[in-house]
Amino acid sequence: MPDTSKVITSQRFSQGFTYESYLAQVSGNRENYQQNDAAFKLSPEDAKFFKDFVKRLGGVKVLAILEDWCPDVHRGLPILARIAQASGMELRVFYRDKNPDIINLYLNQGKFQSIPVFAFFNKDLKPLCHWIERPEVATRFTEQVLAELTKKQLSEEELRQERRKRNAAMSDSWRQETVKELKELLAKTTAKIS
Amino acid sequence: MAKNNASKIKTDSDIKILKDRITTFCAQTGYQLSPQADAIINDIVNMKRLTGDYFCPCQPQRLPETVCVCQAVRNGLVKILGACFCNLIISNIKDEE
Repeated sequence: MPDTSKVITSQRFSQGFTYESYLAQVSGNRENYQQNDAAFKLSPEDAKFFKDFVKRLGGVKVLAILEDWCPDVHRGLPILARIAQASGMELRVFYRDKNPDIINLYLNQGKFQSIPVFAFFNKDLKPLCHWIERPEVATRFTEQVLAELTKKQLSEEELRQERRKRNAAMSDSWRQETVKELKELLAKTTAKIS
Repeated sequence: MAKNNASKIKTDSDIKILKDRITTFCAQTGYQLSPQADAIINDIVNMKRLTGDYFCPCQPQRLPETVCVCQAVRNGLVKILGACFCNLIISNIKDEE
């Protein structure tokens, strides 16, 4: 667990964007967020899980580190925002490249500034856990596509078929897998602090 | 100071090399660069600084096939997803489905 106390102070946390203020100033990709947001449903059971987690800790803060251009951010941030809204978590959004001291606390494999990072804290900003980039299923997808497309160049018809198949597969399962991974992460955190 | 200047010149040169490579690929294929290409190219150049080559920042493997322009994109990924993994190269064809 990184020592965040000197970097992510209460004052610093409050300087982040709220989700609404973040979206209001995004220029090019708001449509991507809106599409992902519209397609995502947080089930009542999942909403209860996150709400119970927040209640148990007496308040939770979550910090999202990102850049506007990233497709993983377009998919992930609306999910986190919905979870925060449903559970009462306080969400603040920070740009990675303007906040190198923050992203450097959460380097992927110790060196990559992968985004998004969702970092969870208790109400006093004591770090709880963090999640990086995308669900495992999405990583496997990129590996699989790479393997397939490295082997051969597909015909136009094959590409069309793949497009239908992939878009359907990606649309919901990645979002639900993100929720599942966040639940598992927070459940482990709960077990540790119990 | 001298070290910083040398580093900046090197980075600028890396950016130019990569941008030229991608622009040429887009011209050959009819794809487009993302409006946020400069930010994404900076990320890929940072990957070169960290790993030694222009690896895609959105793919977990560091293989010759994942150096930008990656093999998946060369073999049709943009036609499947509408964009490459990191949204740098995008299709200029509206989704017909």
